[in-house]
Formats: sequence, C-alpha cells, structure tokens
Amino acid sequence: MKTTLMLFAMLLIFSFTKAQDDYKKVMLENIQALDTAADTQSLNKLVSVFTAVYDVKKDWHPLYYECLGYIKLSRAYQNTEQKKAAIQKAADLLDGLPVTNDEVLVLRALYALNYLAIDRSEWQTYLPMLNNSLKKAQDINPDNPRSYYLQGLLKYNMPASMRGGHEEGIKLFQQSMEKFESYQTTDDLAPRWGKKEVEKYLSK
Amino acid sequence: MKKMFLIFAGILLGSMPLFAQSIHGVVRSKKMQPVNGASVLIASTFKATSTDSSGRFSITEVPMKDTLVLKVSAIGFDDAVIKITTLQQEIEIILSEKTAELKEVIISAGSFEASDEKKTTILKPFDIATVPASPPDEFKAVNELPGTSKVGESEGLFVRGGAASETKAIIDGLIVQDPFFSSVPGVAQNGRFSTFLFKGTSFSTGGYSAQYGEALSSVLLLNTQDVAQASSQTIILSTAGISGNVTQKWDNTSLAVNAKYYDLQPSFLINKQNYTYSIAPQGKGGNIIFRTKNKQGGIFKLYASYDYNKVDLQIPYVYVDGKEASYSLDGKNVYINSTYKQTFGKWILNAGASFSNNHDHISFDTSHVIKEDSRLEGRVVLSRYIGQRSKLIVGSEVQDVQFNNTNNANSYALNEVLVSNFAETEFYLGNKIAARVGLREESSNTLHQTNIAPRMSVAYVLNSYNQFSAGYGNFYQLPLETYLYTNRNLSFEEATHYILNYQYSKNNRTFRIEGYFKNYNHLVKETDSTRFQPFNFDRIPTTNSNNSGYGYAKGIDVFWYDKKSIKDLDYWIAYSYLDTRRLFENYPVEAMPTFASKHNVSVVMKYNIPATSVNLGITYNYTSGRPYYNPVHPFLSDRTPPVNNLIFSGNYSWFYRNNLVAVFLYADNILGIRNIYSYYYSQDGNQHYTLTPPAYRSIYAGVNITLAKRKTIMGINF
Repeated sequence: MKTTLMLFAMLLIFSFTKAQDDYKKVMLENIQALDTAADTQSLNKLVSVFTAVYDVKKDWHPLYYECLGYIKLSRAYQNTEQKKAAIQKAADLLDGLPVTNDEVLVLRALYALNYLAIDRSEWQTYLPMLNNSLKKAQDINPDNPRSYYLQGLLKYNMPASMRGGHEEGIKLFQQSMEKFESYQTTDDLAPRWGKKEVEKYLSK
Repeated sequence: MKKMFLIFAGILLGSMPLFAQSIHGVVRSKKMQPVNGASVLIASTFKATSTDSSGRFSITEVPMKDTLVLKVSAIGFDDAVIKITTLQQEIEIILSEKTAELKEVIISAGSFEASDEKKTTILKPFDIATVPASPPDEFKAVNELPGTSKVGESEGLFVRGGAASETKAIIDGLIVQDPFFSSVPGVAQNGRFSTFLFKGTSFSTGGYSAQYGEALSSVLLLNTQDVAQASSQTIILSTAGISGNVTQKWDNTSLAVNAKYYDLQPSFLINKQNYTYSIAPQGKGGNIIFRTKNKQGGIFKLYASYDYNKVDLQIPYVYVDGKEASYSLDGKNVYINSTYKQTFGKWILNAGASFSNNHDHISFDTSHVIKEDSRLEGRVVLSRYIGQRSKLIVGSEVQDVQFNNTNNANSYALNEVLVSNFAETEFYLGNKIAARVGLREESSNTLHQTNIAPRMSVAYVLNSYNQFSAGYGNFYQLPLETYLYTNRNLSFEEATHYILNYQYSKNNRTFRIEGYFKNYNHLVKETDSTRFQPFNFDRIPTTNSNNSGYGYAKGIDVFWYDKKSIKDLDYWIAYSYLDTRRLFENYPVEAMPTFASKHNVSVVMKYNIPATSVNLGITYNYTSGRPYYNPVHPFLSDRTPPVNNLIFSGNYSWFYRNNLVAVFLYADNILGIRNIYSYYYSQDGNQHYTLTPPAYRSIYAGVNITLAKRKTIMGINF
C-alpha cells in the first residue's frame, strides 16, 4: 500500500510538472514568435493565444505579452481607426498589470510612445506618462536595459534644440547595450525584446 | 498490481490530452461580411488562432473531448461564446457589431467640444491652444470655428447672426461679465483669458444645454485646468510688453502667480497705425490661480485677477463731418471665480461663486462718462448617473448684476437679480440614440417676469463614423442695460433654435455640416422716429421702447478637419453661410444687421518641420461684405468690400542651460491688404469716414523663457 501511495504522489507531481511544462513551452514558443512577428495576421493570432493562455493561467506574463502584441498591432495596422482600436486594447490590458514591476512600467512607456505615434496632439498627457514610467522603472530596477532603450528612442527622435538628437540617443542606446549584456534573470518568461533594435541603431 | 497499473495508466493518459483532430470555420458579421483578425480560442486550453482576411480560421491538434467551448472576439464586435461538439468540423460563427462604442456619445448639434477627458471629441484642447494669436487668446481661437462672423472693429463673438451681447463666456459654470477689455469705438479689444488657462472648451453655436442661460445665441463653456503639473517660472518678453509667472506645486496643491505690464508704443514704431494715439494702449495686471485636491478626490479652485488699462486716441466724430475727437479710456477690472467639486456617494456636487467689478472712465471730446458694472453670482449643481449611462442634473443659480452710468450730468442705475433653476437628463434609447432633455426657469426682479425654456437635443449614431444630431430650444435674455436704465416695462428677449447636424469622423479626418434656423422674438425696439446712428458711443435711448422687434437667422456651417493627409500638417477649413434680417433697437425697417456677413471662411494650418522644434502656422480669413449705413440709400442696403486677412506665426524652442527658451513671431495681415471695416456717413450723405483696421499690418515678436531648477518642464524630463 505504501508503494501505491508513493506512486500516486509521484504521478501527481508528474502531471503537475507536465502542465507547468506545457505552459512554459507554449509561452516560450509564442514569445519567440512575437519577437519576430510584424504582420497583422500573425500578431492577431499571437494575441489570441496569449488571451487563451491567460484564461487558463492567471499569471502576469501572458497578459504582458498580449498587451505587447496589441502595441505591435497598433504599429502594423495601416488604418488609423484600427491603430486606435489596437492601442485602446493595450490600454485596457495595462490596467490589469502590476504597477510595481519594472517591465510593466517599461511596457506602459512603450504604450505611451506608440500612442503618440498615432496621435501626437495628446502629448501633454502621454509625454509625462512616458517619462514618469521610465523613471519609475529605473528606480525599481536600474539594470533594466529596455528602459534605456526607450529613453534613447525618445531622445533620438527629438530635435537637437530640445536636448535630443542622434548623438544623445546613441549614448542611451550604448548604456542600454551594456545593460543587455550583463542582464540576468531567473525568470524564463521575462521579456527579452529590445536588444536587436538597439544593435540596429548602434550599427547605423 | 494489475489494478494499480490501470490507475497508473489512467492518470498518465488523463494528464496527456490526446490530440487527434483539427477544427476550422469562418467568422462573419451579421451582414455576412468576413471578419478579419478575430480571435478564436478554445476555453481551458492554450489553443487559439485568429481569422484571415476571408474570415477563415483553423486550429490543429484539438483535444479530444465531447464538447468544446469556443470564445470568439474581435474589435468592434460583441464577444461570442459557442459550444461545439468535436464531430462538427466546419464551424460558422456570426458576430454582432458593437453599436459605435456608445459609452459616450457627444451630442454634436450646435456644439464644438475640445476635451482630453472625452475620447470622442473631434477637437483637443491642444488644437485650440495652438491657433495663432498674440497674446494667446481663447476668443480669437474660437472665432476660427464655423458659426462665427468676423467683425473687425468690435470685440466679441458674433454667432449665427447674433450680436456680441448674445454670446456669453462661462468659466467653470459662472458667467463672465466682461470677458474682453473695455471697448474703444472702432478698435477691437483682446479677450482677458489665455487659452492656456483651460483644459476644456465647449463652444455652442446654438441649442445649448438647460444648465446655462442669458444668451440668445451662444455660450462658450470654459473649464479651467486642475492642479498644476509641476513647479516652474516663466518670463515672457515681447515687443508688446513683459509678463512673468511663478508656479509652485506641492503634492495636491498648486499656486500660480502671474503679472504683466504692456505698452504698445514701442511696437508702433514697426506697426504703422491708422489712428493717432497720444497714449498707446498700455496696462498692467495680474492673477493668482490656486488649486487644491482633497483625499476624497474633491477639488477647490480659485482664480482672482486684476487688470488696469489705459488708452488715448483720436477717433472720428461723426456727428460733425470730418472732425476727429480725442477718446480716452481708463479701465479697471477685478474678477474672482471660485469653485468646488466633490463626490458624495452617487451624487456629484459642483458649487461655485464669482464676483467681478469693472470701472471705466471715458472722456470723449467734451463729455465724460463713468461706467461701472458688478456681478455677484452663485451656483449649485448636483448630478448623478442613473444606471450605467443615464445622467440627471439639477441646479440653481443666482445672479446679482449692477450697472451704473454717469454721463455728464445724467446718471443711470440698474440692479438686476436673476434667479434660475434647471433640471436636465441625458439618456440613451437603445444603442443608437442618445438624448438630452432639459428645462430652465428664470425670474427677473427688474422685469417682474418668469420664463420657462425647454431645451432638447438628440443624436443618432449610424455607425462608428457617422452621426446625425438635432437640437431645439428656447433661449431668453434680459434687454441691454442701456434700455433698462430708462424703461422697466420691457420683457425678456427670446430666440428659438432649430438645428440639424451630420458628422463624419474617421482616420483623424472630420467632416461636419450643420443647418440651422433661429427665430428672434420680443427684441427691444425703439419707437422714437429718430435718425439711425451707426456710431453708438454711450448712447442711452429714451424711454420710448417696447418688445415689438423680431428677426431670423438661418444658414449652413461646414467644418473639415484633417490631421492625416499630409504628414506633420494639421489643418481645418471652416465655412459659414448666413442669411439674417431683423428689426430691433433703432432700425427703422427690417434689415440685415451691420455685424452680419453672408460668407465667412477660416483656414487654419499648423505645420511642424520634421525633426526640429520649429512650428509654423498660417491662418486665412475671408469675410464677405457687411451692411453699412448711407442715409441717401435704402436702409442698410450697401455692402462694404470683403475683408481678407492672412496671418503668419512661427516659433522655435531650444534649451539654454536647463532653461527652455522659445522665440515667437506673429504677423497679422502679412500681405498688408487695405481692408475696410465700414463707412460712417454724414447726415446728408455727402461725406464719409472710412473705418479701417487700427493698422494694416502688425508684427509682434518675443521670447518665452521657462526657468527650471531641474530638467523638468510640464512634468517632462528633458
């Protein structure tokens, strides 16, 4: 009887880890796909998968990637109404994410940046949101490479007279690259995006 | 042992779902159109996909179960949950369209709203704030919207055939008695309020809400900014004067102090004047703006300002042909506005009080006039949501207005107390119709009269992009104080508005067309058969007047706003067609009034040179000829030539040692067109005086320096 119980216990652990593995496997697969996806078709499919995953597993990761997917969708769409609808979905999802997480704050900044790309007339709301989110993210984790990447992006595209310009941007991209190189996390599902883009800017 | 093996196998199998088959299908709208990009997922699994451009989807390796639950969602459609059996291979899913995001419908009949808080407004406060004007002037910006007629020689908003006195400026719910600097005959004055004071503007060109009254034509609703974003200090130096601002921000409280001094004399060296000034317009003033929020989300606002201004110039003295006379003005204005907003359970309380006093000392030729007005107003409004979207608003206000006029040896006074109550409800009929119905009651102690004004507007949302609106209402206003000084037997003047509106808004492009009909009744009419005088310097009519005047205005307003077609360029085109006639005041017969023009066009363009901090603006205005009085021709049958104006503005900003520096240039009538505003004729019609703009071309330049201890400006780190 003792062996039977042992067996049961082992089986339970096995099936539990199996489910965990499934979750991780699906997530990793789709996170990778999201990294390279650029067309609306594949992005729509990916946000749909993250929605399904979040339905089953109420973890912040799938929600984060679903939100990231909608931000990328807002860029991929050509039509302004569709862009707006996608960025609005991202805004709704952001409300459900923990505000004390530096990656979520960086995501909020990315959202603000993409909102401005659609409608710059609301800069009085979204520029402070962008700046404050990045500042808070750096307070929580000064080693988050993505926060410097986004700061760099903002500087890079700002006129030189406003303390921006390519040189200022590159400085921040370099800082970001240093952070990318020393970046370490135990979280397998942690965001990885940004490095390629920074490399692209640095090689220009 | 065998049994144990079976259990083992069972659990193993159970934890390893069997993938055996695939499902596929199509997602369509109710109109059988394929839905692209719809999300299709199988509940309780990680299986999901989205539809392609023909609405098709397929999911492979579907777990073997008797029934599966599909969740289908798409932007612009209601979510659908469908149970299917795995035997079903081809699945058709029909989604019903969400009815135009009815969370908030802006009833657009008669109203232009600019707000950051409401997502669906066609204008943003930034769009209004960036309309070129020097100094920044809320009224000049609004004057570029359709529904207004430009009257070069007078300040004020002339809306849809209405006189300037028929439009009221309302700040945080309270009427502003003197929104413009005191009048100088023939020279339009600036407004007292900068666009940067406000976070929201709603300009109603007709059919406005029952919450407001005392305006036959239009209300301009201005909502002031909340607690300041950050501390800052600003200095503005320009060819017109100097001003400074200090803003201090604590956690939930901010205090701003502004001061200014101006003298146009130096600018007259470049801007050649058509008038002779012995004292060029000059003045000083300041204001304080205090804001504090409490823990329960309530906000208290206080705005207090003082202005002093002075001018002395030669203006035509039309009673004697060819003669000019000296006109000097000495004006003082105090304005205090304070409001408090707080939520109590389901109710929202908006309370406010304002006080203003304006004192003008005027000398014209040999006469001396002292004009004074004071306003004390209190207002309480309670509102609450009923259910999700319907809203109930009730409120009361008391206005105590005093006028005094000492004209040489004669002295006139008026003290009016107007008490108003109103109730209004906003509700939805199904998903496509939003309506607003209100009732307003006003009682005047001077007229011993009470009026009841119904107001109604309705919006029909065809789909996300197309909307129809209609508005109707009765509007009352007290006769001008100059009539009430001598005759208390008058009654309220009245206007009825009918409005039809269509709006299309998609892809950062908006097209709007609005037709209206406005009927005026009980306008004050003088019964003396004296000669009409186009020049009304402080004329106090005799006691012989009654409410037998009437009139109408009808027209079409068109608005096109495009932020999309050309990169980095925002532009709008506003066109107003107006047909109006009235018999009122000292008009001998019904005629098109002198302040009306048939066609008005405004083109406002704003361009940001890419990758720079250079902003350029060009505004073009066209006003067709307006009636003027020539005693030997039929009454007001003559028309002035049309007025054309091209305004250029530009600014460039950069950082100098952590300080944000912006230089700006503003040029009115850059082409130097010799516009004519009107003609003043002598009694026999043989001689006339041509009324022109004070200057044919005006250029102002200046620099705006924002000092910052830290690199934070408006909450933005640079």
